[in-house]
Amino acid sequence: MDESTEAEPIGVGIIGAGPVTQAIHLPTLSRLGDTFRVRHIMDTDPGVAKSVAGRAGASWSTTAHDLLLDPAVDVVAVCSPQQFHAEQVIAACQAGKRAVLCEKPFATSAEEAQQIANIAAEMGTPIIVGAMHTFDPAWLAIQDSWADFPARVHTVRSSILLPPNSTFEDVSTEVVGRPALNRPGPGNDADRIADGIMGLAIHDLPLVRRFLPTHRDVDVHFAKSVAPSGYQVVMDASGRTIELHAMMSANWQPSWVLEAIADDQALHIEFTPSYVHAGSARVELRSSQRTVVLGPFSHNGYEGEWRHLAEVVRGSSPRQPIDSLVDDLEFALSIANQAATCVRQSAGALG
Amino acid sequence: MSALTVRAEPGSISPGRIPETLATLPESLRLTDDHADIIAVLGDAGWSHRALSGIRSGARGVMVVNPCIEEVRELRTEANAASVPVVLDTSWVHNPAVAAVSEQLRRIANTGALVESTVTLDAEMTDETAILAQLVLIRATVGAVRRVDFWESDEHGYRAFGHLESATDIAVSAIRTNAYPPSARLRVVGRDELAELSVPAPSTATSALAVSANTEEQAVHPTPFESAHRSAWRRLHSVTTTGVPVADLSSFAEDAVTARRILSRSGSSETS
Repeated sequence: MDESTEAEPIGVGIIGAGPVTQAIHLPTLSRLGDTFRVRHIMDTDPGVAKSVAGRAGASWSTTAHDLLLDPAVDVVAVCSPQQFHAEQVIAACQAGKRAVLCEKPFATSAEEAQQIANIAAEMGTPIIVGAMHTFDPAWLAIQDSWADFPARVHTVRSSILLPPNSTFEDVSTEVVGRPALNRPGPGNDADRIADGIMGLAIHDLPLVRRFLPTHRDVDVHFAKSVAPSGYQVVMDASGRTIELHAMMSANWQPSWVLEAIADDQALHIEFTPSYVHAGSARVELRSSQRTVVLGPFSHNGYEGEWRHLAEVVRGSSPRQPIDSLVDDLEFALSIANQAATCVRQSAGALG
Repeated sequence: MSALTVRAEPGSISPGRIPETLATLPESLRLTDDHADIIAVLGDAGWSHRALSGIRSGARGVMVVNPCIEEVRELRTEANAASVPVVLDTSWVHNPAVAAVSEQLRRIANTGALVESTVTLDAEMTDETAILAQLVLIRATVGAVRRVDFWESDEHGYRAFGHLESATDIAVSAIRTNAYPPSARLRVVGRDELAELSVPAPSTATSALAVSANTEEQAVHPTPFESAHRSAWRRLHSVTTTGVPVADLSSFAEDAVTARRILSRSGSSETS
């Protein structure tokens, strides 16, 4: 029996009980039932809070304040709309919780991110951002095999082709209180592309940043919002060319690929779709002489992030430096802002 | 939608990954320790008696995970009389891709094709449970195995050749390895077309791969990212609430006869 099954389960409180909580976190925590117990669910919709809490035999409330007062809650997962993330992460730290897992992005500005960093440091609270690909076991494993490969990469390419989220939500759970599908989205192409970067590209941007000596010199050359939902972005950073492509469509077959290419080696990562527990990515590191293949492993990044949280809480794994999380956010925000500006300028030139 | 309660007998939690699976159907099914609408039993020796006890205690539905060979006549009779569906969660058949492509597989198989069924097994799965699960998959896709002409088995797996009810040749094999998770592959090769179905382990939501090809083109068919265990539970919920009869036990009884006949042979043999 390993340590995680010997110790008392870690009590989890979840702020926000929408599709991500229902389809991702509750099924994942069920797979880790020896390690975690869901103790408290908060949602502003009392019907959703009560229903989702009932699935886990947990308490429920309609305010984050009530959840944070619950002594059964050891760690907090912040899964609310992103504009509330910073406030709720900070409140969880101040409440003395043992760790906070926050969905991405964990703040909406660099200033907010820095406030979180300050309070987390003051309270000693580990912060984990739910960027699941950064916890994918195949992604983690290849880093032991690639030596100085990141320093030699000249091109990074992220390509995401996905069916609608409901395709995967509906085989992961039975969603209650699903937000209306026809709710208004961002009003123009500039807002749409910023939304796409912060909502979709952000899954892979911490991985992209792994191939850059610094994220502060990113320069977007081209950006285009693709109807009905997608983006095309070309940029450079630290002398690397970076391409970001994404498209949501009714096509049934998902494809989620990240590539990093050097003159003599190329990395190809094929991730499994969001929501479902379909194992880890499959990673190939190729050269002219050989191909190293890692994965797929049995668990995915969602399970990986919760496993990591347990290890951090129990002291068996070092916490990720929060400065690195702030840098991830600054990188994403810089790309989103530049891409939006690029789209606005293109529209202005055409007009 | 009203949730049905589920009671899993002690020991059945891990092998069928029942809590994990029920967590993906939270509006339909709820685990309980008390008297429940549905009982889940492990398919080891004595499962049919335990399922029968559950029906006599008032269960409205029964799930059996990985059943071994057993006499099911009494269970079938009482389940039918009480209109209680008994769903057998064997390893492969409930992957949702099976139902999606079975018509095409069967059509090609009926043209005098060759059918190849290969499964990979981990150390925990017995020959008996494996051949049963394989026969169930074969029946659901290309039709029941009627005759086995050759059979051999060893610690690394088993190999068999025979015929389907349609007289189509079939090659059946199992290979033991822990190198990768258990899986099943079924390929139907016709004169000018083929179809192939690769099914992952029942606990993963990895999608199956369904491919067909002819002299002109190759097509990859849509397959959902839903685990076979979830699909089996979704089916049990559906038939329990709608009252649609299921034939799992009838088919199982026939497949169990075939499996018992195969397994009773030792080493290589050729009999009809």
